[in-house]
Amino acid sequence: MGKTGKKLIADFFMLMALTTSISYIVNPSIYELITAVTLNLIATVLKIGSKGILNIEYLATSLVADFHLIPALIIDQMGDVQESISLVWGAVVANIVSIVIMIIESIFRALIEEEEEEY
Amino acid sequence: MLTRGEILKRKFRTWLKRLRKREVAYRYQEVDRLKFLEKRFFQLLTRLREPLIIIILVHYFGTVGYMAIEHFPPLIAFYQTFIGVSTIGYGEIIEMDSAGRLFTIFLDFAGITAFFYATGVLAELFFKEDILSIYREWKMLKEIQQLKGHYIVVGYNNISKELVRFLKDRGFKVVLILEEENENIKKELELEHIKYFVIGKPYKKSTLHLANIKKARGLISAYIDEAKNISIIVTARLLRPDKENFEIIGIARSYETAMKLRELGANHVVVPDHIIAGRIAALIFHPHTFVVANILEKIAFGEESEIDLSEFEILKGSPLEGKTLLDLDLRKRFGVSVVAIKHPDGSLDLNIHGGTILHGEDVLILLGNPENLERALKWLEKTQKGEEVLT
Repeated sequence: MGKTGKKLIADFFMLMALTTSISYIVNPSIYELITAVTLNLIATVLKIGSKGILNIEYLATSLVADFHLIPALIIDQMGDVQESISLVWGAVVANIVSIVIMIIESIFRALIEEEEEEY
Repeated sequence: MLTRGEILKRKFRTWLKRLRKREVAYRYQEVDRLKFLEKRFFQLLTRLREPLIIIILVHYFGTVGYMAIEHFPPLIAFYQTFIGVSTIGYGEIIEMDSAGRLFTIFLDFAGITAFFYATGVLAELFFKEDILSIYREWKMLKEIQQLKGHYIVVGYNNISKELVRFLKDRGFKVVLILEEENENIKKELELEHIKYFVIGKPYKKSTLHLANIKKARGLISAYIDEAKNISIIVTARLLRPDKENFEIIGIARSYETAMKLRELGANHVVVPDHIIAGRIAALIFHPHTFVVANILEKIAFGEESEIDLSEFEILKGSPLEGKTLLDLDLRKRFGVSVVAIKHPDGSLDLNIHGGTILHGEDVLILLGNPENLERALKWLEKTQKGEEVLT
């Protein structure tokens, strides 16, 4: 798999985790929350060892989202949906930061590739 | 007029050009083992990605599947998936119907395969690739980069082993450079409690950089081979040209080689044959003072950790000039004795007492406990600089 393919998969999982979390906030359903946790966990695993200028921040934001979503799942099961939603909001913010980092990385990569073509 | 975007782009380009230059410069250097280990460690970690993702997915489908088909609560559904996939197999937590059992067959078939695949990858990482030793070496090299004032001992032979023992007894930090590593050497290093070592060609700049030569106090080349010694000493001196702050000690078979090594940058060169002959001769010349000779020998070779000898030069025009030994009173202050004074003409004055006056360029020979000696030397230096006033 090429670089683009790997990036596509990593970005896909992160965006999917974000959109599923938002979907849970709008209409809380345990299926959506489980899906969001799974997608986010996969996104975290994909970020381990990734190369980039902001890779540590990238991994950190993803871990933050994990540590919001997993307690959210437990609290949801304990019956406090309101608290669970607020935790998922935290995960959403972390994932948005993650996406900003992803965009910065993409711009850098595009500029570097452009530069390399000129050489 | 340039737009703001164009200006930014131009700035970015110049920055990139600078970065590329640095990268090219790096490529011409030898491969840096520290960077290699870091890269390898993360490369191996990424191998865990696939099995981890498969396991997460299996658990996801299992949990959701049991919830949808059997209407299990989420926790029970997850638990049922886990005990199936991990081959624990406690059985059905809640009685299932046919649809649930068919689902379990497919899930566990996929799950157990994924589980064994993950175990295989883990075993490969730990036993074949030895990820732990890669991590340990990477960590050790990073620690070496933090060292300051350490000694680098090049070569692994009987001389270097003894030397490392002496240096460690005196509390010096030592980095050993080995040309190659095998299981036997690894065990010996562990037995000798040698914490820091670097593997690589010792005459390469990259190896010496890995041993953190920039912050080291000195380098000892323990090879007797002339060609190796020359290349190591020259490389080390090129990296640390200041002879006063970085001492290089070498070993030579003959005086001719010793002269050569000194000219090439070594501060001191030891000729083993001469030392052995000298020690034998000393035993013959002083047969009745065996205890004294032994103690002096031990002090000279740093084997006696309770007593040590040191020297201090009185500079011309320093506040110490014209004072008497009683004024300094080193014995009372630090428990250190002045046993002799070497005058500028080279003569050694052993007949000294409290009233002996100190002159410029005199060298005091001090005897005492190593810690006290260090304190005394620091105090003398401060007094000489005028930072401490003699009362």
